[in-house]
Amino acid sequence: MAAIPRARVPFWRNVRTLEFLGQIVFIVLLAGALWGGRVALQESFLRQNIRLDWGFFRQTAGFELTALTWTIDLDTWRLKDYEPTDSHAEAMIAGLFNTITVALLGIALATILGLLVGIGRLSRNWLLNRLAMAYVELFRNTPLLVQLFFWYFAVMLQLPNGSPQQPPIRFFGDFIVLTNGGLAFGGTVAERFGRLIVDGGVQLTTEFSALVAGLAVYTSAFIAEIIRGGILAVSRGQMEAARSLGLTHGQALRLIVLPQALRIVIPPLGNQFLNLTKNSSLALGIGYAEFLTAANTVSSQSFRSLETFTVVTLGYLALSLIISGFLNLIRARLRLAPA
Amino acid sequence: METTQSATATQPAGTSAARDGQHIILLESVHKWFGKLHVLRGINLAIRPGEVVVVAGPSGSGKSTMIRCINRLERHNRGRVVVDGIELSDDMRNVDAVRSEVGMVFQSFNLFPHLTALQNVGLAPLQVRRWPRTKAERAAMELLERVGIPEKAHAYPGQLSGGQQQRVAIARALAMNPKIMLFDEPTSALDPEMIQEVLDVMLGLAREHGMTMIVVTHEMGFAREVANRMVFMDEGVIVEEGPPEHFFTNPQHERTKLFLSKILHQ
Repeated sequence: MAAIPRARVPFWRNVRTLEFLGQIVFIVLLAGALWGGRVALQESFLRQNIRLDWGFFRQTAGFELTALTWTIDLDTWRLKDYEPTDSHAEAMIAGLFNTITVALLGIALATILGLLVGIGRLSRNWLLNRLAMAYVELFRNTPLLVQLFFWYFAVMLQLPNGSPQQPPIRFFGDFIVLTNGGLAFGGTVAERFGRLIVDGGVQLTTEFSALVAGLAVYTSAFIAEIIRGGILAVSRGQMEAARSLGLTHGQALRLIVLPQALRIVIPPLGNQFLNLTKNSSLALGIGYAEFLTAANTVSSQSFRSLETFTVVTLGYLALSLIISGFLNLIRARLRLAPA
Repeated sequence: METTQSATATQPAGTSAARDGQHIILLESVHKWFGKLHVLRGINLAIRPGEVVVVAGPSGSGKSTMIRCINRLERHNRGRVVVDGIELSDDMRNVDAVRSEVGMVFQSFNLFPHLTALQNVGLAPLQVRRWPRTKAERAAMELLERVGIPEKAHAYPGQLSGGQQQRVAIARALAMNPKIMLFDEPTSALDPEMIQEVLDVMLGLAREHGMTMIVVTHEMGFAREVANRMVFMDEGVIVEEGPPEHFFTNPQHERTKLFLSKILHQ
């Protein structure tokens, strides 16, 4: 074989050199932009005489929180109940705990509701199908804040107040009791000052119930569409193979189609979990003391909004990254054997 | 009816089809429409227990639709389908009863990708027959041995070759101990070097187990070797049927001759 002389490539046509140069140019531009931003910020801080001061976080908060109020004692690193004598930082940690509670409960409820509605959306039963469609379109196409107001003012606050004229709504004996004071599970109903109220059990406040219901229902409409898409993406042959083996439609759905559909929907489902978590900050509108509401109070008391909302931003970022991390773990666990 | 059948064809016995003891599968002037498309235009077919019937014909001739009507993956619109004395109708119980007696093997395997080979095969006995797990797994393992890939029991479908996947699919269809096996172009999605391993399994099924089989295929070598009867379909009707020796050497119809000349001169 005749040796082909190896041609020397001039650097402006060499792909590798060009890629390397491209990286350098990008890094220089980015560094310049960051430096420029820093200089501009510094000048504007100096001009307006702003100095960052984080000390107020350790000052006494002095306000009550309208919710479950766990926090971490920053001196002993122990879990404790939040009290108004605690610091601003501890008030915000209590808010963060409430956000996490709302997010976890909301995600669980939204997933269950979304799964049911998504399956209903594919039902051959005309009425069920249309009802599921109406559900999706209604809750997907109205603003979440409006829905939260609806759940809070038009549903929760209109419940009976527990007086003899307006007895509480009960399900399964006293297991679930609904009044305009909130939702109670597993307590016992007792009379106090002429009203029936619940002792013990798990008691959820009006704001909390409205927030979780609103977030779960709103998000479930999106999840339903994702589930529907996931089921449709599983090939029809899977259902046919399962049916031809004698499995019922329900068994085929549960054992064959859904496990595959869930693998497909995990990434978009994760986005909805993140949306729900971030949307929980709309609780500011109905006064439930989650992270943003607590921070808002801290900010207006201390006049330190810049510092407070820096912490809020980082707090939500951290929460979202943790959820993403969990979802990636689940996705890795569920990945199908390599083809 | 435009269907003409050769003298050797078995004619269904009139209206007493459901009580006909001789035939395990009986199709009586079956019609099927997909919207306006008339895909089956009066199919008559009677199959005795243990018979191996190979169905051939150009694509779009209704072969797949016909066998899919036998386990009601498709619903026929007119006529009757009777399988082992059970008439397929809108009666759910009948459909379930027929499906547990009829195994089906698909062109695209349709193995469950999230289950191992063993789980694929053991699924139906476990869930439909409610066998205990150990019993279902033992039975599944025996079937995998029968199709010659016990060593792949714990592999996922994605880790198997096409031929291995189709053999697992055959084992899966056999797990419910069906009286009838339907094969819908079982080898046409396979690479050429894998076709034989699948045909060998099917051959064994026909010869050693006397399984009643309907096979939609263009593997004419297989047809010559094991078919008791050839059925040639075109445009939704059975154009010609008969024993393979007649069918291949002395086809009666122009359409059959044309089809055979195309397929045998490949």
